[in-house]
Amino acid sequence: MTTALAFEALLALLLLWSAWQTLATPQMDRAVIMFIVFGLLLTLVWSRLQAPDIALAEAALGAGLTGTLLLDALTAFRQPNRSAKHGRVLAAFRRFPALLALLLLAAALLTSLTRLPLPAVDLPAAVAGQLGSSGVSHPVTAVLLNFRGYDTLLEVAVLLLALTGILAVGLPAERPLLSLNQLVPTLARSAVPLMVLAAFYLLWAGAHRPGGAFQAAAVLAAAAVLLNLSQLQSRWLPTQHWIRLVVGAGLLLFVGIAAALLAGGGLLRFPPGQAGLLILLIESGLTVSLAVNLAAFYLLRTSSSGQWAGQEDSHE
Amino acid sequence: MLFVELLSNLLLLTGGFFYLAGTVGLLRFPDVYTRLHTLSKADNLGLGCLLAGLALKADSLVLALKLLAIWPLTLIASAVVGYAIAHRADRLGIPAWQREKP
Amino acid sequence: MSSGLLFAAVGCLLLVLGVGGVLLLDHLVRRILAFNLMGSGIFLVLVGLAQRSGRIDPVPQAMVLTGIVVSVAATALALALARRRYADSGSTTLQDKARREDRHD
Repeated sequence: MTTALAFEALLALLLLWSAWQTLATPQMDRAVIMFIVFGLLLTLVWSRLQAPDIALAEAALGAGLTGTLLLDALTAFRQPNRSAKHGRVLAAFRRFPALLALLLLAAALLTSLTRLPLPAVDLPAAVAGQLGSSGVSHPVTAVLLNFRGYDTLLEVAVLLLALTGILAVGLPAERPLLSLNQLVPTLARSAVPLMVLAAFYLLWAGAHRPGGAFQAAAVLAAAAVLLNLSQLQSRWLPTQHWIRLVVGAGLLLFVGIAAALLAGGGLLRFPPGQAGLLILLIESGLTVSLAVNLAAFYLLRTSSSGQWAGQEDSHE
Repeated sequence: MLFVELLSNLLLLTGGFFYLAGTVGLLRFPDVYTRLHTLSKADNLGLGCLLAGLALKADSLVLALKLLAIWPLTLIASAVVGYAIAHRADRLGIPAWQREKP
Repeated sequence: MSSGLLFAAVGCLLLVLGVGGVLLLDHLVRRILAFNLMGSGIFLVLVGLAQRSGRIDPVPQAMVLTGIVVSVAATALALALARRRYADSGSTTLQDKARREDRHD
């Protein structure tokens, strides 16, 4: 017990250190690398908190996909290295009044943390009591797709909204990525089939053990990014309509099932008999559409269709 | 049964040792190429020992096989990533470390 | 002290660090990083606090799972906006370039 606590204390210190480094290290590329390290340490924390679902999502999305997006964005900010940056980052933290306010905030949060009363409603027991009629046997999946299914419905909508925003911002066309080397395509050829297999496994496993649509979609999106990095698959164009169709279809399927169920009582209140089948149907649709959506965050970042040049003109 | 337990613990300790060696190397070695060397050699061997040790402790055969499947995947990924980093470092013209001549 | 409470406390500190970063740092990518740290801190508080008695609680776990996916979407949108700003004005901060150089001379 004490060994476990000592390990957790060490993990906590490393987590805070990597977070500090993310903000305070002078070079931006190092900051991003430290953020990826932070994400991986956080994955360990989630597994210590017995949350394997979150650990999977954090490793694949929090550290993996976000790290890829950030590193890719850094290549767009082609700035000369400003060495003066070093003093400024630390100096910013030395602004006294702001620092004092932050310390007070930290103290207030930490003291209130120890004084909170125990929750009046016993949620774990409530979930366990209803688990039998939810159609799945893994509690986290039951909460995500059944008990609080509207959260997930709105989340898919948020993702679609973010993608719409990215398309509307219209990024500048860029030079193609550097060709890495011959080994990356080899890795992609051997890894991508396994990743697709792993995604199907995660989707199927979600009903009764950690896994589910989000993790499966994250793995599929990572496979698409890997194919793009190895140049086995070209960049997606915003003009390709199938992307919009697939991304929209996941939400529409979800909304359709929700609307059909409205007649039977409440929003996303599944009849216990068909709950398992309906959840699997929703999850399968979500996996494909979330995977395309997440991959599009990376793969749609440039438009080579000359759209950018046209927008430049309209500015003047 | 006792022998399996003993072997498993021995493998875990060996794995821990190689991880320690790899980390010391990462911190103490002078340039990117030698650091990659400790990461891809010592750490991967450490991972193999740890996974073998854990597989011996696993409750079911399926779990043991899943644990052992991690190793080849990590080896492939680390070989490719190691090569990619070294290749890029070479293209950027980072010189390899050499012992100073007396 | 349970591990849930420990990591909830770490989450509070991460939140404060993130707030400081968003308020005090200039570079937009740095602010996006700080915002992500804030989010991770809140996730840790949600799960850690619910599990401070050591019992697994699937409700906050499911909410955090949703939250991670949403924060990736928010990061992607924020990065797209930051890149658009850089392409339009050559600036990596929210201040105008001329004013910023003024201030730091």
